[in-house]
Amino acid sequence: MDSLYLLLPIALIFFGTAVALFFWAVKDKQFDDLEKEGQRILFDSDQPKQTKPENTDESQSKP
Amino acid sequence: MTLACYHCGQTVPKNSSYALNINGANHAMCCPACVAVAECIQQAGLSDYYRLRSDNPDTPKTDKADFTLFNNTAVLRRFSEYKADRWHSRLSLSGIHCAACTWLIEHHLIQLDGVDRIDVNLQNAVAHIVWNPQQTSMSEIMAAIQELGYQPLPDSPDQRQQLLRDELSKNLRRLGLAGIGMMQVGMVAIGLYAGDFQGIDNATRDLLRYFSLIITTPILLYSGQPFFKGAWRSVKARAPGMDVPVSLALIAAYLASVYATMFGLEHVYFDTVSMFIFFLLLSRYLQARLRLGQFHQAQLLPEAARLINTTAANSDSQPPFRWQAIAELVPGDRIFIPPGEIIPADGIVTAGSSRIETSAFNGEFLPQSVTQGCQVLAGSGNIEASLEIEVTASAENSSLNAMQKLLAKAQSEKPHFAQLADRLASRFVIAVILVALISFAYWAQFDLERAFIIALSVLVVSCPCALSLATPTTYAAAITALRRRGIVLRNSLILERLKKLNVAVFDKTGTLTLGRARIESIEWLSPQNEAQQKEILAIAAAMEADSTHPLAQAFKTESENTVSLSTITIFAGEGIQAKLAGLRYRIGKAAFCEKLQTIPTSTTAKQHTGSEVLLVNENQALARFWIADQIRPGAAELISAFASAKMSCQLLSGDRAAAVDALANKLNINHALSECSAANKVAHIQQLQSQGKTVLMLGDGVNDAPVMACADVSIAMSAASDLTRNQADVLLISDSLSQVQTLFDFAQATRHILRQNIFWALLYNGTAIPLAAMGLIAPWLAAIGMSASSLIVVLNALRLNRVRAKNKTNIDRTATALESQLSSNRMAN
Repeated sequence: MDSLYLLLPIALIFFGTAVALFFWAVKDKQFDDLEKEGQRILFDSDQPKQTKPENTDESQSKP
Repeated sequence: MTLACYHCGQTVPKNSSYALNINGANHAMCCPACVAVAECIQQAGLSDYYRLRSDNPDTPKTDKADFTLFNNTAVLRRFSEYKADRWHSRLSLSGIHCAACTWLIEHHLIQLDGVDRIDVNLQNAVAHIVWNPQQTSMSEIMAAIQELGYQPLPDSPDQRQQLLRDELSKNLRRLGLAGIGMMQVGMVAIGLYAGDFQGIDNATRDLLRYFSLIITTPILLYSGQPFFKGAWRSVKARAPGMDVPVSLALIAAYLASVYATMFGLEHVYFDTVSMFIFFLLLSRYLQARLRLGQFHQAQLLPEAARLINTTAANSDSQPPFRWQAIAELVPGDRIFIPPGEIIPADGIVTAGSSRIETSAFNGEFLPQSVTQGCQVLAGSGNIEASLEIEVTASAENSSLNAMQKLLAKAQSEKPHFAQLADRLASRFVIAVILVALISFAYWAQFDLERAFIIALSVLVVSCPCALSLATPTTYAAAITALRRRGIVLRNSLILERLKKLNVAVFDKTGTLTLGRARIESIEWLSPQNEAQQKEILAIAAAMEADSTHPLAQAFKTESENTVSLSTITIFAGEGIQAKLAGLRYRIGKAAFCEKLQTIPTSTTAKQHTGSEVLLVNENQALARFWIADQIRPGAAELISAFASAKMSCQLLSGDRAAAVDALANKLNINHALSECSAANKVAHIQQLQSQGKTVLMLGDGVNDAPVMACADVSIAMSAASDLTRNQADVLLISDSLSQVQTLFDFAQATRHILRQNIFWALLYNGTAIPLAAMGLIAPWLAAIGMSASSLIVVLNALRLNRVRAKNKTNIDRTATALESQLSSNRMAN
C-alpha cells in the first residue's frame, strides 16, 4: 500500500492538469457551439478536391 | 407531380425551365435566384453542401442589397474592432439552418482575398470575421455572403446578452471542476466503502480521506459559490429557496467530513458533497443554456440614410448624397431611397413616384402607390423606383419607434406563470429543515453525535437532485428534439402552457396565407378549347414576365414564358400592351382593356374578393383572371384540429374587410376582425384575457410583435420580421402549419414525461427522508440511491427524442390533396 503515497499525489497532478486544460478550452470558446463542432469533422474529411473548383459545368453553360 | 426545387425545396412552378447541372446531374429549380446561388456554390467548388446539409435553406431573394454604407468607418465600428491592421467584425446571419450552412459560408469566404479568418457559430448564427482592409471591404464580404443566399446584418450584442454569455462560461468552468473532481473523489470513495466492509488500516483510510479533502475543497469553494450566494440572497429577501437546504447540507456535510478526517471518526461525505454540486450545477447549466436561444436582435431599419446634399449641384441621375446615421436625421432633412431599400424614416415624398410595400404594418399584400406629397412610414420597403423624401419625424418619434414602445408595454403586461417546481420548492425547503430539526431533537436524547449524523443524512438525502434535474432535463430534451424538427422554442415554459389554451388568434397575410399572389380562378370570355386556353395563359405569362407588380407573379408560376412578343409597353398603374402576330394585346385593369375591346360583365364577380385582371386583343375579349393571396397549405387542417380540440379560432388582420371575411369564410373561422392596428390587436387580446381566456397567437408581421408579446403563447412563421421573431415563444423554421400540430403533440408528450419524472423524484425523496430520519440509511446507500434516481430522470427525459408526431403524415397528405383539388378547380373554371 506504500505505492499509494506516490500514486495519489500523481493523481492530484493529473487532476490539476485536467482542470487547467478544461478551463483553457472554455476560455478558447470551444464549448460555445456544440452542435456545429459535433458535425464539422464529418464535413472536411470528404473533400479531396476542395482547392480545385469544378469548372466543367461552367464551361458548358458559357460556350 | 410536384417537383421540389433542388436548392430550396419549394415547389417548382409548372413548366419552369430553371435547372442547373451539378456534378453531372440535372436538377430543377424554382427561380433564377436559386439557380444563381447554386451556380455560385458550384463555382466555388462547394457543391458538397448539397450532400452534407440536413435542412433546406430559405428561398434566396432576387434583389441584391447595397452594402456600401458598411464601408463607412463610423458605421463599421458599431459591430467591428480594429486591431493590428485587421478588422474583427461580427455579422449576424439570417437563414442558417444546419451545420452545412456554416461550412458553406466558411469555405466560400475564406477563398476571398483579404479574409484571414472566419468562424460561424451555428447556435447563435453569428459570424466572426477577421479581414484586411487593404485587400477587401465590408461590402464585398457581405455581398459574398448574400451570394450564397444568406442575409448578413451587423451584430452588436446587447449588454444583457453579453452578461448572460459570461455567466454561462463561468458556470461551465464551475461545472467542469465539479465534474472532474467528482470522478476522483468518487473513485477514492469506492475504496473507502470497500474498506468499511473488508477492513482497512487507519493510515490508508486517512490518506484516502485527505486526498478527497484536497479535491473537495476547491469544488466547494469555487463550484459551490452560486448556491451560497443564492441562499444568502433568498434569506435576505425572506423567501427561502432551494439554495438554503442545499447550502446547509453542503456546509454541514463538508465540516462534518473535515472533522471526521482530522479526528478519525466513522464517516466522511466528500463524495456526496462533490456529487451534489455537480448534479445541481448541471441542471442549472442546462437551464441557463436554453435561455440563450438563437434569436437575432431586431434590425428593422438600415444604419444610415442617404442624406441629399442640397448645396452641391444636381447631377443627372442620382442626386449627390452622403451617409447620415439614422439617429442624426432631423425633420426637414431630404433623403434619397433607391428601389429595393427600406425607407429609414417617416416622411413625405418630395420627388419621384414608386410603390411601397407596407404588408408588415397593415397586412395588405398589394403595394401602395406613392407619389409627391404622400406620407411614407419608416420600415416600409421601396419597390419600384427611386424616391426622395423629406423627413417629418426624428428616429425617436417615428411610427416604428411607437410600435416598439407599444411592444415594451405589452411585454410588461404579459400574464406570468409560476413554474410548478418553484411553487413547490419553498414549502419543501421549510419541511425538510423541520424534519432535520425534529430528528436531531429526537435522537439527541439518546446520543448527540449520532443525532448530528442523522440530521445531516436527512439534509443530504433530501437534497433533491432528481427533483431539480426533472424539469430542466425534460425541457432540454424536448427543445433539442423540436429544434431537429424545425421548431425553435424560446421559452420552455410554453410546453406547460400549451394545454390550457381556449382561443387561437391568427394573423392573415403571411400566416394563414402565403402573402403571394396566385390565380384563383379563370373566366374564359370567348369559347376556347384546352390548347387555346393554354396558349392564352402563356401569352398572359409572357406579357407579365418583366413586370415587377406583385399580381404579375401569379402568372409567372402558372405558365412558362414561351411566346415571343414585340413592342411591349407598360402603362404604370394600368396594365401592359404588347403585339403578337400583328395583333395588339392588353392585360391589366378593366378600364385599360376596355379601350381596346368591349368586355362582357362578370357573372361571378360577387363570389370573388381578389383582384380582377383582364386579357383582351383587338378581336375579342379573352379571359378574366381572379387573383388572390394563396392560402398556406395545412391552414384548413390546423383550424379544424383546433376546433375539435375545443379551441375557438379568430382572425385578426390589418387588411381590408372583404379580403379578411373571404378568407374567414373559406377556412370556417367564425370571428374575424379586419383593419386592425397593432394597438387594436393588443386591446382585443387583452379583452379576451380579461374574460379569463388564454390565447395562442400565430403571426408574422412587424405589427404582430406587440400582440405576440401579450398573448399567452405566440408562434411566429420563419419569414416573420426580426422584431416579431424576438417576441414569439415559438418559431417555425420550416414554415409549415402542420408543425403547429407537431408542437402540440410534443408538448403533450413532454408534460407526460415531466409528470413521470417529478413523480419519481418525489417518491424517491419521500421514502428516503423518513428512512434517513429513522437512522436507517447508510451514507453509501444514500449516494447510490441519489445518483440512480438522477440517472433515471435523465434517461426518461431522453425518450422525448424518439417521440413521433402522430398527425404529421395525415396532414401532409390532406394538404397535397387539397392543393391538387384547388388547382383542378382553377383549370375547370
